[in-house]
Amino acid sequence: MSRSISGLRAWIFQRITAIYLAVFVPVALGYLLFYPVTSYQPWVELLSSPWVNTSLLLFVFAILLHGWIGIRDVVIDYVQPFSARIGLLVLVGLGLVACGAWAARILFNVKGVV
Amino acid sequence: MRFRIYRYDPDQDREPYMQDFELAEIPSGMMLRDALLALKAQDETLSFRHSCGEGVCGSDGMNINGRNGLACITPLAELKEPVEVRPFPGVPVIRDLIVDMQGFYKQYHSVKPYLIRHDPEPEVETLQMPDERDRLDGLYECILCGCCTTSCPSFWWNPDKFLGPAALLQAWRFLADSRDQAENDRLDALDGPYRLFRCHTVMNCVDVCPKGLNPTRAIGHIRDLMLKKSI
Repeated sequence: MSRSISGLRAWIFQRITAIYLAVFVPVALGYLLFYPVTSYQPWVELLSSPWVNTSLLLFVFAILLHGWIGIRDVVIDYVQPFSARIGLLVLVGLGLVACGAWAARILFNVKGVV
Repeated sequence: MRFRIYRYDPDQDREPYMQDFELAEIPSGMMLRDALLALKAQDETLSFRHSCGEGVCGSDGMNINGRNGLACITPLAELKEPVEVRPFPGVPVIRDLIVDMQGFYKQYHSVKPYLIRHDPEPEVETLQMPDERDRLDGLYECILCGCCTTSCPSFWWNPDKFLGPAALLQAWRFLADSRDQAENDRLDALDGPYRLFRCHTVMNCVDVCPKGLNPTRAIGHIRDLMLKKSI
């Protein structure tokens, strides 16, 4: 990771993803409040719409990136020993990547069902 | 009036301790610095820095009842008893209330706090329009007392890498100066995860600045300028 990615760019990505999350989460929750999804089939139909699918995928990407930058910031601040820092960052990174892969698998599989 | 003052003499004490003092007479309008001088008359081993006595030199910065400030412009009337006086947090103590400001100055020097010109020196002064001069208001007044930087949690965790609010205020002071010609070099030097971007806008710096300056806003201006220059 180059120094410029970890400074200004990280800061910008954190803000851009924050805006997306701030818009997406209330909209998604509001939608589910007004059009409750009660069983599996309507879920599949909802998620198979390319708009929903893409925006949800973007949401997953945004929350992972946002989380990564935030946790990395906390680690840089509070975890000073180099080996502990690297270990923790690798763990967090792997965990986030796994979450992303899992979410992608769910979303793409839904598409496959319909 | 009762005082509890941090005492530590590395030559004699194994660890720091708090010493209680009492001052019988408090004239109205007395500042903490005057009280410390009176206490030093009681116990001449009490050590602290001070000079101008009117909030200009920035020598007597200390932690007063949990808040960084200048003793010479802190009225005793505003302080709760016992007045707890400690050295600045997050920096090495040399003795009692005297701290080692080397790290602070090192960060200040690293932002090159002087005008850098690439053009040949002009015959007369480099002129500035009134509005260009106005941009320096709220920046040049910094007296480098260190109240802001030593109250910043980001500086406590990474004092050797994060520049701290005082140095960053000065970084913006020269970026904002129409006569300076090293904008790109200055911005490049500030990028990376540590030097500028450890600031999480806690704003302790704004809260404690005895001159009423706003380093957080200056840091925001630097980020904006960086962003503008990068796209």
